[in-house]
Amino acid sequence: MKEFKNPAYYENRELSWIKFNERCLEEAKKTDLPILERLNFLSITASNLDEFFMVRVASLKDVENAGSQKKDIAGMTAGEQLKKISKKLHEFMKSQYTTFTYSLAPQLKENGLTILKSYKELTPEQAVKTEEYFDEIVYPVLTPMAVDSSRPFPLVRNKSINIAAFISPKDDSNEADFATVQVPDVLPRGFFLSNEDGTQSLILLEEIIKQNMHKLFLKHNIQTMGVYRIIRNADLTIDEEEAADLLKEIEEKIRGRQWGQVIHLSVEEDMPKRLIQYLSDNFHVKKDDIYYLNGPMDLKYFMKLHGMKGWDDKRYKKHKPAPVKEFMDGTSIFDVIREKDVLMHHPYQSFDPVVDFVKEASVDPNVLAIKQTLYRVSGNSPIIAALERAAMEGKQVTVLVELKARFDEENNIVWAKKLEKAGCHVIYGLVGLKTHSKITLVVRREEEGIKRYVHLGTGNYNDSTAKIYTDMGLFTCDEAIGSDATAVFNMLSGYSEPEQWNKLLVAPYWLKDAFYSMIDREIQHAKEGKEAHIIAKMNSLNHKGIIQKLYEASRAGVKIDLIVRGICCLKVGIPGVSENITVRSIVGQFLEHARIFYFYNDGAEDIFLGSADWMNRNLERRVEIVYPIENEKLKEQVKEVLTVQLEDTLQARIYQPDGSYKRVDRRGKKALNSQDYFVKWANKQLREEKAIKGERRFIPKYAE
Amino acid sequence: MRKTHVFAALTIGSYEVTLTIYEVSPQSGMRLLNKVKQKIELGKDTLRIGRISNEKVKQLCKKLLKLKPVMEEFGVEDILAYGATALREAENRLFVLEQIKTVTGFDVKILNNAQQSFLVYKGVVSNPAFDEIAKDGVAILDASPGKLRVTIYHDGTLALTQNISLGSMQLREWVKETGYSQEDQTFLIRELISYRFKELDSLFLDNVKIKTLILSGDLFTSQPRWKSKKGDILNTDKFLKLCRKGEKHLEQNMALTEDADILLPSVIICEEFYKRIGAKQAWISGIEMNDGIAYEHAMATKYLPQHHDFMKDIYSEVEKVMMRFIGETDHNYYVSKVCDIIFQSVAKKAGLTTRDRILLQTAALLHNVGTYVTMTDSADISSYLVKKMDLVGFSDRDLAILAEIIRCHKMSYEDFIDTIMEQHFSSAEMNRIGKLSIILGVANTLDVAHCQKFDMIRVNIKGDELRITVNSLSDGVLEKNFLEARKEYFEAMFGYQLVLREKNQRYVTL
Repeated sequence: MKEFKNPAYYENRELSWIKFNERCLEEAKKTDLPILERLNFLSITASNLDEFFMVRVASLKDVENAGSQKKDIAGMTAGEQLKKISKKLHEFMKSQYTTFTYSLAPQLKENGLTILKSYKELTPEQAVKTEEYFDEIVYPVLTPMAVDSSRPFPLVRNKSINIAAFISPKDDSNEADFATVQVPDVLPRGFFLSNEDGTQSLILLEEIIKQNMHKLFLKHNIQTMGVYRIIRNADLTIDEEEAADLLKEIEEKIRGRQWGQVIHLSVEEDMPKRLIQYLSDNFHVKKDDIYYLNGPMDLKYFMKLHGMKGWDDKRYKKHKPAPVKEFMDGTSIFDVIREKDVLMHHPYQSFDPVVDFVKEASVDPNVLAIKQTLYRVSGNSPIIAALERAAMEGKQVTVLVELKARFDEENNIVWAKKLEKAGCHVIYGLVGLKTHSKITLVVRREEEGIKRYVHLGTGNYNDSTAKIYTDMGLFTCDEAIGSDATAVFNMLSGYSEPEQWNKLLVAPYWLKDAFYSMIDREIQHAKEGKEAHIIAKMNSLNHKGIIQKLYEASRAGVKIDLIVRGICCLKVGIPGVSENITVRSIVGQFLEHARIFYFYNDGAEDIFLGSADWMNRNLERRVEIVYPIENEKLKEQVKEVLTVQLEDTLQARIYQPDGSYKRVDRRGKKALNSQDYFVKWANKQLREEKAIKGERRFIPKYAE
Repeated sequence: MRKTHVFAALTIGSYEVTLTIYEVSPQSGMRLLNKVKQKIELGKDTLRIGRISNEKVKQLCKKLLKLKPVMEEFGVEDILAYGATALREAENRLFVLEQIKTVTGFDVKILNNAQQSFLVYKGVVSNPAFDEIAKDGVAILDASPGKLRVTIYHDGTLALTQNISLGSMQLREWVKETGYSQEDQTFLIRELISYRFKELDSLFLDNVKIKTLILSGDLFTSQPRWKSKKGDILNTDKFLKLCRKGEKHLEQNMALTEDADILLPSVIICEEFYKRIGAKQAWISGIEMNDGIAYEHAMATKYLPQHHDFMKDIYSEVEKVMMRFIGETDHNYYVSKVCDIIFQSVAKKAGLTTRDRILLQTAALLHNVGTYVTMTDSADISSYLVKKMDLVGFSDRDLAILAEIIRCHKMSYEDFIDTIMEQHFSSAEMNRIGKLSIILGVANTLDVAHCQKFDMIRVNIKGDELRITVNSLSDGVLEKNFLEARKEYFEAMFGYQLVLREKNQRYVTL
C-alpha cells in the first residue's frame, strides 16, 4: 500500500475537526430553526472548541515544544499544524461572534430578551438593582487579587472568566498596579432584569462586577479594565505503569489540570492594548493564541437559555422516545430476550429497557452475576443504583469504570468509590488502554442451565445522553456471544485472554485485522467482477491503515459509502484512488453516534454495530467491541438506518474533492431529514404493535 | 439429581493456575462456561530452591482467592482442585496445601505424572473427534512447562505413558545458566531434546506407527500473532511451518513477547517430537488437563455415560509394561486370572472394592518384573521398580500400596507383620495390602512351577473354609507344599482356612 502514502491523499485531523465544528455552526446560522435551538448549536460549538483547545491544541503545543519535526498523516509538523489551526480558529470564532451579535442576539431581542453587552446599557432603575445584587450576593464571594512587588501574578483557573484591571492609588495616579478578579462560578452567570415595555434583559455577571469594580479596590482608581478568559493544557498524561494507585494518580492529575500551560487567551475586543500585553506576558501566550471577542466570553453559557420557561415555541418540541414494543407487556425482560434478539434505536426508542435490564437483574433471585463497562454515566444514574442494589443482594457485580474517560474522570471516580462501597468489584480500567466498549452481561441460573444475557451498545450507559445521542443496542442471549462476553470480562479483570472469539470483534489486537480482512474480501469480490459494497457509519475516521485499505478497495472497484459525522482524514474524488468513495456528514437535532459497518460480502451482507470508530485510538489503544447483527429481520432494520441516512437531503452535507462540505443538491430528490424519519418510524412501530394487540395495557415501571 | 450440574476444575501448574468452569447435563452433555488463567511461576521456586517460597505461597493464595468470584459468578457446586509438577516436587508441599486450605478453603490434591497424563488422555478421548483420529495411531504430547508427557494410543489401546524430566521451564532455567546467546541457546535446547527423544524412541516407540500427533494445552493457541485455531488438524508441511514461524517470532521478540522464554522450548519440543515419531499430521486439540478432570467428574457423578473403557486402557498399559520386563508372560496372566477368581469370592465380605481389584490385577501382572534385573530378592526389586513406574490411573499412594502388595506376596505372616508395621500406612491400608498380597501369594503359589498345572479353578466358601477346586493337569506336589506356607497368612487376613481340592483325588488338607 506504498502507493497510498502520499500526504496529499489525507486531510489533517485537526483541520477536519474544525470543519465539523463549522457544520455545527451552520446549524446555528439556519434561520428556519427555532431561536433557542440555534443558540444551543452555537453553545455546542463553543463547548467543543474548549475541549479542542485543552486537548488537541495543547498536545500539539507539547509536541512543538519538544522540538519534534514528526509529520502527521497529511505531512505537516506540529508547528505547521498549529499555524493553520490558529488561522482557522480565529476565523471560526469571528464567525461565532458575528452569528451571535448580528443574528441571534437581535432575534432574541425580537422575542423579548435583550442581551446587554455592557453594564453601561442598564437603565438607572436596573443599575440600582444590579448594584443591590452585587452588594448582597456577589461581593461576599469575590476575591480580588492585586499584583505588586510582594504579591506575584496569581494562578488563574482554567476556563474561568476574569476581569483584569490596572488600578492606581487615588493619591498617585502615576502608579499602576495590575489586579484581577475571577467571576465566581458558584453564582449564576446571567441576571434577568425587567424592561419597562414588559420585555426582559439579561446581563452577565462579569458586567455587574465591572459595574461595581471600584468597590473592590477602595482608595484606588480603576484606570482600565476588561474581561478575559484563559484555557490551559488539560491533557492528562498518566504514567499508568508506574502508578501504584490509578485512582489517586488520576485525582492528582485532575487537580493539576487547573494549572497547566496557558494555550489560549480570549479578551474583550476593546480591551486596552497594555492590559492585553500584560496578560500575554504573564501567561506566556503567543500573539497567535490571543483571541479578540466581539461579545461575551464563553458562549456555552447560552445553553442554559434553552430551558427557559415560557419559550416552548422557540425550541423543538420535546422529543419523547417511543417505548420499545417488545418490552411493553410487562413480561420479564429475560423472557423476551430468550424468545428473540431485540435491537433498539435510541433516542427514537426509549433507553428504559437497558436500565430495566440491570434493574430487573439486580433483584432477580436467579441472577448470579452482573458485569458492566461504564465510560460516561449520567448525573443520578439509575444504572449505578441498580448495580449497588445487586451487590447488596449478594450478586457478583463487576463494573469497569473507565477513570480515564476524558473530562469525566472526576465523575467516574465518584461512581467507582460509590460502587465499591456497595460491594461491587470495581475495575478502574486497563493499563495503557481505555475501555470504551459498551457491554453488560447478566448470568442467570435457569432450569435448563446457566444462561447469559448480553446487552451490547454503540453508546454509553447514560440515560441522559441516550435522549440526545443516536445509538443502537442489541439484547441477546446467543450462547456464542455470551461466551465471548464472559471472555471480555475475563480480559478486563486481568485474567487470561481467550484463545479465540466466537462472534465479537474486540480491539485492540483483533478488531483492526477483522476490518482489514473484511475490506480485503470486498476487494477480492470486486476483482472477481462481483458486486462489492461497503457502508460504514461512524463518528470519525483517521486510521491510516483503514484509509489505505479503503483507497485500495476503491481502486479495485468496491463501492464505498461513508457516513462520518466528525473528523474525516480520507479524501474523496482523488483520481485512481478514491473515486468510488462518498462521504457525508449528518449534523442534526440529535448527535449522530452509532457505529455501523456493512459489508456486502457477495450477497451475504455482514452487518456489525459497535463502539469503535475507524480511528487510531479506537483500533490501537482502546478496548472496543464490535458485534454482528445476524437475525435477518434486525439486519433489515439496520440496513434501513443506513439507507435512510444515505438518502438524507436536509441534514446531510456531502464531502467534496476540494475538502469542503456541501449540502445535498436536492434537485429531483425528495426532502428527507433522516432523524425526523426515525422519530416517525419509532412511533409507527408502536402504533402497529398496539393495532396487533388491540388492547389497552398498563406499562409497569420499576421503583427507582 | 439436578437437571444440570455446574462445577469447576482447578489446576495449579508450574507456570500458571487454570480454572475452568463446566456445566453438565445428561441431555446437553458438557458445556464449558468459562476458563481463566493466572500466571504464577511456582516451578521456578521448585527448580531453584526445591520448595515454594513463602512469598510465592502468599501470591498463589491471592491468585486463588481472585478466582473465587469467577466461580460464584456461575454458582459452582463442586470444586476439583489439583496440584501438578511444581507442587508435587516441592519439599514443602504438605505445608503449602495446608496454607491454601486455610486461606482459600480449596482442598487441593496432588497428582503424579501418570495421573496427569491420564487426565489429559481422558480429556482428549472425551472429544468426539478422537475416535476417528485415533484409528491410525496417535501420540499425545503434553508439553507443559513442568514436565513433558507422552502418551501413545495404538491399535485401539493405550500403549504407553511416559514422562520425561524436560519441561520447558526446566529447559529455560538450564539454558539461562549457560549464558549463551539466544541463537546458541536454541541450538542447545534442540540438541538436548533430540537426544532425549532418541532415547524414548529406541526404548519405547520401536515399530509403533503413529499418524497423528495430538498437542494438548494452549501452546499454539495462546499467541495472537501466530496462533493456530483450536481444533485445527495440520499436515506436516503446515505444522512444521507453524513451528518454525513460532520459533522465529519468539527468537526475534524474546524481550517483547510475554512468556517467550517458556514458549520457545515448548515449540521446539513439539517440532522435534513430531519429526521423531514420523507423524503425518498434528491436531492442535487445545485440550487441557481440566477437560479430563471434568470428564472424569461428569462420569463419576453419572451426568455423563462412560463411552470409553478406561479400565481397558489401564490394563492394556500394565500389560505393555509387563511385556517390557517379562519374556514369558503365561505365568503372569495365569496368576492374574487366579487372583481374580479368589478376589471375587472374598471381596464383598472382606470390604474390598473395585479399586482394589485393579490393584490386584496390576500386581499380578507386574509381581515378578524384578527378575529382569536379578533373580535374587526379585519381589523386593519388583516392588521397587513398580513404585518408580508411571502407570496411568494410579496415584502415588496407589503405587506405594501396589509396591507393598508385590513386596509382601511371598512373605510369611510374621514377616509381613514386621515389614508392614515399619511403613507409614493407615490401618485400613495395611489391611488392604495384607489381603491383596496374600491373594497374590496364593495365586502365585498355584503356579509356582510356571507350568499352569491346574485349570478349571473354582473357589467357594463353605463354613470357615475357602475351598479352591482345581483340575490337575499334572502332579501339583510342589504347589501344594508351597501353599502350606500361605495358610496362616490367609487365615489371618480373611478368617478362612485355605483348602485346595484336586478333582479325582481325595481331600488334601493343608
